[in-house]
Amino acid sequence: MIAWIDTLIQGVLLGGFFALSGLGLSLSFGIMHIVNIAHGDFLVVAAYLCLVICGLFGLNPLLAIIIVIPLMFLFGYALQKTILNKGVDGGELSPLLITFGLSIILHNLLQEFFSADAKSLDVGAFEVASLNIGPLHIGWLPITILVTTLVVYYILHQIMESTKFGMIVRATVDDPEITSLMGVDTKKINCLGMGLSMTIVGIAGTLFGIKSSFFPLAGGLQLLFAFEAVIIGGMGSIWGTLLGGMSLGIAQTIGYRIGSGWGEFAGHLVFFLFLLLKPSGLLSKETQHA
Amino acid sequence: MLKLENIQKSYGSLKVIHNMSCELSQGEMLGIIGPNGAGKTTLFSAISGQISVDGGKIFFLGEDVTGLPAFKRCMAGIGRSFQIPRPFHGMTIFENARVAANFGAGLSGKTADKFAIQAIELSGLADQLNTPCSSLSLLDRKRLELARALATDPKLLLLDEIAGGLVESEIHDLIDILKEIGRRGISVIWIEHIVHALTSCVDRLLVINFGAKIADGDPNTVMALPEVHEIYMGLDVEDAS
Repeated sequence: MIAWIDTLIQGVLLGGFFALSGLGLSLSFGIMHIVNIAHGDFLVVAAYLCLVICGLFGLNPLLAIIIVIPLMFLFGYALQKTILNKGVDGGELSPLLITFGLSIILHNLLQEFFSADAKSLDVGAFEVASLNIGPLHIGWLPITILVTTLVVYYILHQIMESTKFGMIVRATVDDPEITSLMGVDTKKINCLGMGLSMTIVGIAGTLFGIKSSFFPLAGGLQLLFAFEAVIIGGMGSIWGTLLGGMSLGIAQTIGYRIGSGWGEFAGHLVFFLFLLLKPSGLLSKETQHA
Repeated sequence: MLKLENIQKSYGSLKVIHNMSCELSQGEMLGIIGPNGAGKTTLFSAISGQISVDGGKIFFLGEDVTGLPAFKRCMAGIGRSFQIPRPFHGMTIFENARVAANFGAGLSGKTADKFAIQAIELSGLADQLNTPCSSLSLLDRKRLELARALATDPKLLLLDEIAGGLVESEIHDLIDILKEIGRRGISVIWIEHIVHALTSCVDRLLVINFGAKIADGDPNTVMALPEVHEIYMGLDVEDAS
């Protein structure tokens, strides 16, 4: 019994990370309708960026996040402005191809500058410290990741519901053409949206670098997990991605409990079942409107 | 205030607008009629900047706006409503209009709120400020289209079949609103199939067919022209008489 409770808790904690890494992808799809194939690679870029900053200033990675965030925001803004906005008019396929190309470029650049060796972000003893409640041992790092995820979701929710920027983003998501006829520069909204998406990728990427080692090609698997979280939750739904991430995390830990090789398989299986039985996901945008 | 010079637009080999020239003066209300596929809505999209033209120039308040994106034309004072209402679904009537007031009219804070509410009141939706758009009737959706276009503080309002699908009494209410808009000095171009609604309001009537101008002038004179009967009504003059 205790073992299963432990599995469930570990699943939620792991799900917290998937929910955070999926959120950036969910935003870029929800706002700009961009299926960002380079999403996983951007997570890895953020981890390397944090590594460089820690090396330069001798900072703890958890502090270096403060520098990573604005840099990733600017990166996202510039990426949208210079490259992705040009592709938006070409339908949904061109951003897909653009980000696919970016992904390949990033793999090569990272290998050129950082070699193919695995790196990690060191937070010392914190990485293995745990909270012990009776027979349960819950790591402080996964707790920190889960709390960060919930705080990020809460802040994003507040931005979307209570600010002028959020109102315009909701309008742009609903009907970009009408929004531009209301005097809104929707291309600029897209830039800010990508900036926001990359801000979250900056946070998720740093936490990814702390919780596991990373190398230039590590983004592929992260993209897959993020995609699974987003699709299980429902494309374009922010809260759906949180639920999707949790479902994936729980499925994986239950899988690992059955056997060490079964974790990722169990996650993929749940994803596959969703595609088969409820392809619109847990909370699709349509059900939100109804 | 609006001047179109030899506007041309094709989709592939299909010429939708063919050398269209037209002028509109301050405070004038112009009606446009023409059969389906005549290029009326395309003309609106060209004026509002949603599509780019293949040739010709568009001047608004003396400025060449041909190359400006839609949002800049909106800020300059061109407002548009759609034939099929397209409200922002997840929002209330007030929020819909406030987006327009914030950006189109360039207002903020309480001034924007007030301006949005005025536009809603003028459109006859004052008692439904906080109603979500998803639950509105067709008439109210049409009114919301109007309110949102008005909240951008337009100097020129483009109305696309705003009376389409409404019953006679609803059309009457709408005409009263449009006359009030005219009194406020806003220029209007109104595409409509319901000719009596149009002729009761507009100062001038433009008839287009196959993307070209057929007639332009006083509504009653234009409606009496045999070629207008023939093209617009799809009837032979002799049959009609």
